[in-house]
Amino acid sequence: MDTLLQLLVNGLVAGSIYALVAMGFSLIYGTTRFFNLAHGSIAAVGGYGVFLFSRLLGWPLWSGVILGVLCAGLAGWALDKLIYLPLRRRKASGMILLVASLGVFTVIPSLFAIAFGTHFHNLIPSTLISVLRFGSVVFTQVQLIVLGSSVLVFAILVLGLRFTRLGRVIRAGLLLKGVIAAIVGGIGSIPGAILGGFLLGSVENLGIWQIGAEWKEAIAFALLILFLVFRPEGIVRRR
Amino acid sequence: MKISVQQLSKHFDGVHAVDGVSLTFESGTITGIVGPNGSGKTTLTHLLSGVLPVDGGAVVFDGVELTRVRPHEISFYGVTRTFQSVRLFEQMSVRDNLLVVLTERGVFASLFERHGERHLKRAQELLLRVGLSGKRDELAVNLSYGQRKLLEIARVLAMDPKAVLFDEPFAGLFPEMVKIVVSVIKELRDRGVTILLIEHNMELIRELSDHLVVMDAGRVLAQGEPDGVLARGDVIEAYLGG
Amino acid sequence: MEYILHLAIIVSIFAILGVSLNLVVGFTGLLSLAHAAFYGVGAYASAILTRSYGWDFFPSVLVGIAVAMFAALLIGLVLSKFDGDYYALASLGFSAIVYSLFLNWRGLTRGSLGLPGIPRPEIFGMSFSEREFFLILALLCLILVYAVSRWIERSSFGRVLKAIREDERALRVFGYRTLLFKLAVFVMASGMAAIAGALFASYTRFIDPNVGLLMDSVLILAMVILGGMASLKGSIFGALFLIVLPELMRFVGFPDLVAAELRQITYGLILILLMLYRPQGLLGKYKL
Repeated sequence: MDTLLQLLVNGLVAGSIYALVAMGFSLIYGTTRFFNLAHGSIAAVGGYGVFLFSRLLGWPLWSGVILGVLCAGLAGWALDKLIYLPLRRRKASGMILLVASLGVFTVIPSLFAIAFGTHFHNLIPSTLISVLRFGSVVFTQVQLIVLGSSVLVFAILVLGLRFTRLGRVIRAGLLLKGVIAAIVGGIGSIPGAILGGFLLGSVENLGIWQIGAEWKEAIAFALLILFLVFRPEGIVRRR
Repeated sequence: MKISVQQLSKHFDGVHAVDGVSLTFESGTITGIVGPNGSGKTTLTHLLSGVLPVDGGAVVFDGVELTRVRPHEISFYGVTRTFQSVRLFEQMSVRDNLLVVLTERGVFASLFERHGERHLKRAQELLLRVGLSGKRDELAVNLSYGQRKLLEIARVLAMDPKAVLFDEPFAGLFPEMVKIVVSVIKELRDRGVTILLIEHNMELIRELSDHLVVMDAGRVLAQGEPDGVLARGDVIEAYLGG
Repeated sequence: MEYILHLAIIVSIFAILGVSLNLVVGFTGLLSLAHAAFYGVGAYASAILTRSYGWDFFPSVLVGIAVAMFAALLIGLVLSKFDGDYYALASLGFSAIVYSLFLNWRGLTRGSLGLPGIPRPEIFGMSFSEREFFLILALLCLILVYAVSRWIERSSFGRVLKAIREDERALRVFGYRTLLFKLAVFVMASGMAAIAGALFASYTRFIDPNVGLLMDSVLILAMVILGGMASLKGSIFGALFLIVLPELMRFVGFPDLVAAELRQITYGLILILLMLYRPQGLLGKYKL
């Protein structure tokens, strides 16, 4: 029974990571109808950003995380500017965009492999591996951060969508120029859940998984939260 | 080959696009269907041709309940249609657009069939009939708007239909093309085909319809002899008000 | 000379994959990323039978084809529930599942240890272990696959496939049961991919789960798009180009250490550039 609970908890944590990625993905799809296969790769950019700043350069973890997030955002913006936007301007079909994102999905992890090698990297400093017990279930501090953050983000997103003017505008399908939308579209949840399952396959095959083992996911997750709250990737500036 | 529509309905998110419509279309007649935008005319054709599933009611054609037939089989009973937003096979040639309708429907049958002389001859005849014989090898996407509509008409003829649903076949056509389409529709009628004609051009409606149906908000507002129906107060009201 | 023979064999194998995938993607408009999975199935089936059970090459290929086609039938049925973008994603998912099977069904495939010692083909007593002979075998298979594909293209069935790509819903109105056509072409293409897989296994004499990798599906797709959608000849050129180009790069002096990654980057970049500047590819008349 204890193992079951523990497994459930672990599953929940992992699941919320996937859910986050899925939410971002469906946000993009919901607003722009763009099936961005490279979404997971952008997440990986975030992960490697953290690695670069906090591990290789030795800066404090939290700054590393923020910078990593910004890197991911930057990467997303750059890709949009260089590739997706020109394609959309030419009224390229959905298939063309999909294949282009497939290309990106192929290039980015390979770039990382060249820059950082293909072995695992350890991101978490030892301070965060303290452990808390609730009855017979063990939580690590990181896991709690992860869970708490995801609930928080989800709450922000749902409430934000419902009650703020921004949220209403986005639900209405419009996007203001320069607006940061970190909110799951009304279209979001159900496709997101379904996609989550499949994204699991592709994301696990690449990006986040390549950065490392179980704990890395947690960091990537925290990353994504900040990323989504401050600078979501790929939002089209509709003129 | 009478089409009998009984209490047909279709709704989208609570809006009744077609609301309990009952109509009869006799063979060898042209029934015009008019009405303001959104009155359910096109939805009705989608329901009759199997493009959309019905939510309620039935369609009986030649003794067969079409509503119970699988969508792709409806054409086997001789029902065919044109689309308001002309739907051709864009990156295929005009000739291929017709051939695909003339050749075998089964997977194995089509695999072992190479289109032959008779298919090509038939395609050529049809193109001649609608005035497109010079465009045989042109890609559909390169045709002018009017030519695309003519190709759709040729495709209808290729199906050798017993019933045809025309959805705004005249929109955007030059006078010479209008003449061609009018003659095709009349020819079909004289052959005994059951014809539905959705059209906004009142002159053509008057010229062609043997019977006229006016739809509004998913229901049948009026039906009968064209001139009489069009003179009715509530019909005029519907057009001006809508 | 040996090197050129080697390249020619690899090109032939991938040309088979390109031509067969073109039937699915170029003609029918189904963006399948699962093609390499069937290639892997063919490779494993043939490898297991020839190496562990002493079968002859030819019968083992037939079994490989049968297994791949059966898998394609099942996978194709599920995929038919999706359209467009979701189809691609779902096929990607299946690709991952099949890879997982290769990796974890250790009793059958020896997992990541792979299957070494796969014999070169012996058909009717003739040995094909010399490179020259193997090339002839590979070319014969390519010719066979190409001929069958051309035949499909020219039949009424081929025309129906194109119509499905153009407007499936409209086509159904005219009496076609499009689901069956999509399944049929998917299954046939997978059988052809299995042939390529069996050839590959027998040539390199060793395979491991990476044979069904997603990346190869992307590579094959790149070949199809580069060569031109719905152009069977184009797929052969696509294969030639995308196999030879990285080899040329090696001569230019890129370090072998990152060769694999560089190759991936090249393929990805080519896809992106194609989408930006020439979506119809080299010989294609049809744009994605």
